[in-house]
Amino acid sequence: MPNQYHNTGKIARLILRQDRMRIPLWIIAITLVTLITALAFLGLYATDQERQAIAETMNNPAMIAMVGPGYGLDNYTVGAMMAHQMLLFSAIVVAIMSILLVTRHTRVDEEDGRIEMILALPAGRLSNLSAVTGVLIGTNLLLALLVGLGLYALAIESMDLVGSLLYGAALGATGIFFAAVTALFAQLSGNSRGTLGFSFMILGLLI
Amino acid sequence: MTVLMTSKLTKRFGKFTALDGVNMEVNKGEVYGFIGPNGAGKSTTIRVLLGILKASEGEATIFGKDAWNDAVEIHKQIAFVPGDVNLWPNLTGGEVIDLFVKLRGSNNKNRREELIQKFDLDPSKKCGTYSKGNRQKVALISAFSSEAELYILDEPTSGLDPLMERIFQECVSEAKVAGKSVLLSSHILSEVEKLCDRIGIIRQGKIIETGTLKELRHLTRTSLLVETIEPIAALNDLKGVHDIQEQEQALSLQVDAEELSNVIKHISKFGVIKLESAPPTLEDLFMRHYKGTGGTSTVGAGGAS
Repeated sequence: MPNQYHNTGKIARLILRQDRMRIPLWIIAITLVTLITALAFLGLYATDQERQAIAETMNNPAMIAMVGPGYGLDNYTVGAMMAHQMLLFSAIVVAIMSILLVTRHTRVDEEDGRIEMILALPAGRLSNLSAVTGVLIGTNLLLALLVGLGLYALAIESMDLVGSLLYGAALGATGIFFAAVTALFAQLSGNSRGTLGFSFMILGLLI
Repeated sequence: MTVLMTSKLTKRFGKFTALDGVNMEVNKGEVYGFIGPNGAGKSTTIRVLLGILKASEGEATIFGKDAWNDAVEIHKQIAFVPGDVNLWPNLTGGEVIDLFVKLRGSNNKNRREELIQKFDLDPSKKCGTYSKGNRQKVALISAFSSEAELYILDEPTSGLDPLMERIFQECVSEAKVAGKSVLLSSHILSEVEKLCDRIGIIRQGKIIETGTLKELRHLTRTSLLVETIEPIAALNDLKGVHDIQEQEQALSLQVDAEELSNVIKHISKFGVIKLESAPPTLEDLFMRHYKGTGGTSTVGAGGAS
């Protein structure tokens, strides 16, 4: 039934209006932290020797427990460092962003009776959920592009356009995945805390 | 013409039966009062009518369309006001009204301005700063400024001050004059009495009484508390007198509305010292309705609010 999605666009605009500060803040914060870290790596480990030295220290159990088994350690460039040390932490933050935003506009709105107000108007039954999903996909795509292009714009030798975009895309995909997981749990759980709990549990299990 | 109809509407939540065969009919140009105690199933019925909940059995139609399948089509011509309006805290009241107008597609700007004036709402404030009454006003303004054919109002005046309540009643009357239909759920009997043409009483998921106000007249008795110099004689023989009870030096009784003047005439012969009168609360009415006789209303202690 096409009617199920009636007025999705207008509801998406409502969500953007409500989050006109929140979403940009998330995106800017995550992008900036990523770019600053890349620059910091550049400053911290200026020479090949220094980078290889830190690569050696990555090969011990404590570091593996922290950031996962090392990869690219043979030629531990700034790009490899980002992918190895930063990607996981950034992905967690992006996932948290998605989980919080989706919960806020699905289960929380439902609990507070705002969805009821919308549903009593000529709006399809799935319009809110699809609007939230749309907004989150857009948010994560934008984040992926900004992070990707931003890293490339730093003009660090070891980070080419493809690699930078891939890094951004990995974050964006994580965000979209957790938006979907949360949207699912918002339908299944009895209240918003349940939605958050289940979604964070999945985050904990997968990462 | 029937605008809204339910037949044998049943809604179960697991083992709990919230609605048990509700039959209801609202005609064009009619104000239908839907009353019942808390948890009787009023809001559940309304949610089914709005297509938010799916009925377990039975059918609900509005404008001849199915309330669940054709919800979007139906909603273009109805306006809903819940009893507990929750809005988006960081949007202003005006923005919310605009949003509802945009979603509905129809708009009557003059009417909206007029209503904002009437209800005395400051639309430039954020909804987060509104009191409950003000949030209620936002929903009422957007409902009554729409070109709806049917208004579904679920305890719409909760939180409104008496002045605003009166403006609300004017709005309902205007809608009725314009040939619109209204489904008004409420437990404020005086409001229902004033506005509604027909009334349905729901209790434990069943409509237990339905009809025009006149037909339900037996439900609207006035409670009196009288203190007289001489004892009142032959009170029992008067028509329309019920539940006579002696209280300290006074006498409490309940009188059918249409017999009130006769009863007062009779009582006045015995030298009235004190006379208090109060309409029975809806709760009293229910009590009486279920106990058959019963009815232990204490006059003066509250009355209908």
